[in-house]
Amino acid sequence: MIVSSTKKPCRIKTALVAAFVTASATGSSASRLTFDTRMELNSRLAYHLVTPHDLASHRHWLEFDQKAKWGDWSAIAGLRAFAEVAYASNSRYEMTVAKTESSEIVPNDIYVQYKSPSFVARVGNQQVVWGEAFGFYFADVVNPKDARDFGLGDMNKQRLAVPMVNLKYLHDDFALQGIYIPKPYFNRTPAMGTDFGSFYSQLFPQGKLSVADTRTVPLALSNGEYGLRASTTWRGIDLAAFYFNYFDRSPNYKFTMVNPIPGQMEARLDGFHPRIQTMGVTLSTENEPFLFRFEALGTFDRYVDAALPGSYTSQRTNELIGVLGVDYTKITNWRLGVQVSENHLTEEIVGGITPRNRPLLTFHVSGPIYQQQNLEVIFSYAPRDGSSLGQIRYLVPVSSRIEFLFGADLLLGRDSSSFGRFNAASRGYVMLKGYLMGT
Amino acid sequence: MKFKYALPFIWFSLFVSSLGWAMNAQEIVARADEKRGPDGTFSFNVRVKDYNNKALVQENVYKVHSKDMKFTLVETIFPERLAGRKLLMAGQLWLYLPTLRRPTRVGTQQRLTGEVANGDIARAKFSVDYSAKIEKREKIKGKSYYRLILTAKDKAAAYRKVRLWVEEKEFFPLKAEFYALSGKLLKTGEYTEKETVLGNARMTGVIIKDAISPSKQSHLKYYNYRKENLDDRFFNKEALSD
Repeated sequence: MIVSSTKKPCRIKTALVAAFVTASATGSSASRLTFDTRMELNSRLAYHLVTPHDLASHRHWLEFDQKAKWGDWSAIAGLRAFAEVAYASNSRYEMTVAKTESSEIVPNDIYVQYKSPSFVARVGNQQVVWGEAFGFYFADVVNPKDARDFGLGDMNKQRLAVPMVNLKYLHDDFALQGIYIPKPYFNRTPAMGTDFGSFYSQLFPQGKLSVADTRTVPLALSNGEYGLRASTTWRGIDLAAFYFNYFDRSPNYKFTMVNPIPGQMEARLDGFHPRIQTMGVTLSTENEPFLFRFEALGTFDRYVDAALPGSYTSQRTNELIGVLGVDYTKITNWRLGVQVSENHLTEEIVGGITPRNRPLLTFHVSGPIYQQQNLEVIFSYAPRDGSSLGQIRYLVPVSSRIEFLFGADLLLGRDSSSFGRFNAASRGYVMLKGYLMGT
Repeated sequence: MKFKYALPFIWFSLFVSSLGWAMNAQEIVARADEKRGPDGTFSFNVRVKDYNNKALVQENVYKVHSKDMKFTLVETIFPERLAGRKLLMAGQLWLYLPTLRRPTRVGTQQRLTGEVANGDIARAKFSVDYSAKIEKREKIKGKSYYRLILTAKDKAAAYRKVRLWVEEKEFFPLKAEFYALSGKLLKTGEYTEKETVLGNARMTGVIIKDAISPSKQSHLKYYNYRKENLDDRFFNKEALSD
């Protein structure tokens, strides 16, 4: 029996309208106020690819954005919502999962922005994206992620917008960006009992385990997160260097034995998020017919959980990451890419849940098959444990506003391997995507 | 005897006239560029219809902002499902995808849609990207044309070589052939539809055909030209998401 008690965040933005009115009042009188509306509706039906081939997901999403622009000022207000039917209709999932994971409405981008000839200032709920790599988040450290679907799907839909102050100074090819997050938020982790939440049950198979993880910290000056990024283009090379001081987006856990009586054993994992620092450099350049992408990151004071017989601890270490990607651009309407990455922990942690070295090899191919129909294949291989992740998507546009997406996510490998442990979550799906725009 | 004295003069005349051709070739291309689009800072729309065996395969509409031949920003506005994609040319080419929310580097030869490469729209001025030489003069349907060979100045150009036919009298471009580094003909272009744009007569249509399968075509129609006042920040890759 597994119980999850993840607290939901409350992020209600009330200042948007007032801020925009203030913004409008100071704008140029010659400017014209324009509005743009964007709505995206997605419906997905997914079935497990391993026995018993039952319903994995029947989900409907709505993403709505309303944008207003007035001269150098603009504002956007958006939300994301979904309703998931599978957890309630498939008996493989427990009722607790159906109660907590069947629906959600969260604010998306909600911010006010001002652009001057040299500055861009943006205040409010937003996404900030750093890095050059594809498929995985390495330098993309600023926003928390929705990890409930293992990061599969569009990356901007996994990224959760959070309130921050984002200032950019622009001069020719040079840009200097400063960000401040007054109230940090953390990753949305998979709930126990869901396809990608099976990890917890492997930690305490002897009895009942509950997990408690707050997704934010109180609003306080000492809890603020801050970062700086400088970027430029030098002799055709895009260069960027950044520093970010923040709370680890993924939780570490403190283990507590609530009831040690054999047969009634009960334990609890309490999540905590240590303050860490990441600094890194990224670059990309073209040397025909290749495009090169590179990232080097160092994360300091990261904690790694270690599970040993009779104990569960968290130990401090540093993490170094290197990523090198090469795209071949000679096939004019196809994109081919390969990416090699390595995560290395500077300390050897006995019983560490995260291995010391995590190399990953990723191939990416996408291009048209027939008319506008597009095939995309991303294949990732973890040489350390021989596991792999295959993502296949075939996009079929049926009109300017509607498209069908046929896809499969395959997680293969041994039960204890990084991808193979989620083998039961492998799924095939069909998705209907609709887009509406208005001005 | 008379011929002996005349020989240096003939040589000198030939040298000067060949020099004149070499110098004028770049100017001819610049004049032809003016007939394809205005100078300065402006915006326009381009509708691209892709055909295969005369059947319409897809239709895309882009809003293009251009500044002083240095910067170009191409934004997809139709179809709706692709709206928000941006292609920035500022020395290099970056593609901004709303699904990624960050710019990524792309090659100029990679396809934007149909037979249209990124560089066909984002790098519109031949005189900036290519060094020109006059190959010869040709009569086509009773009109005289310069046949020029354009060689890429650097790797930023979409093609290694372009062969361009420009009308001698008014400098309107007639057609072009686009070549790869290997010398292979990749595609051809025909300039069509003369219209008055921002006070001058210009070509507002292009038909681009695949060299191997000419039934694969992209028809480009340029319209809605406007003079703009855009500063450089508008073309900064770090501001593409703003």
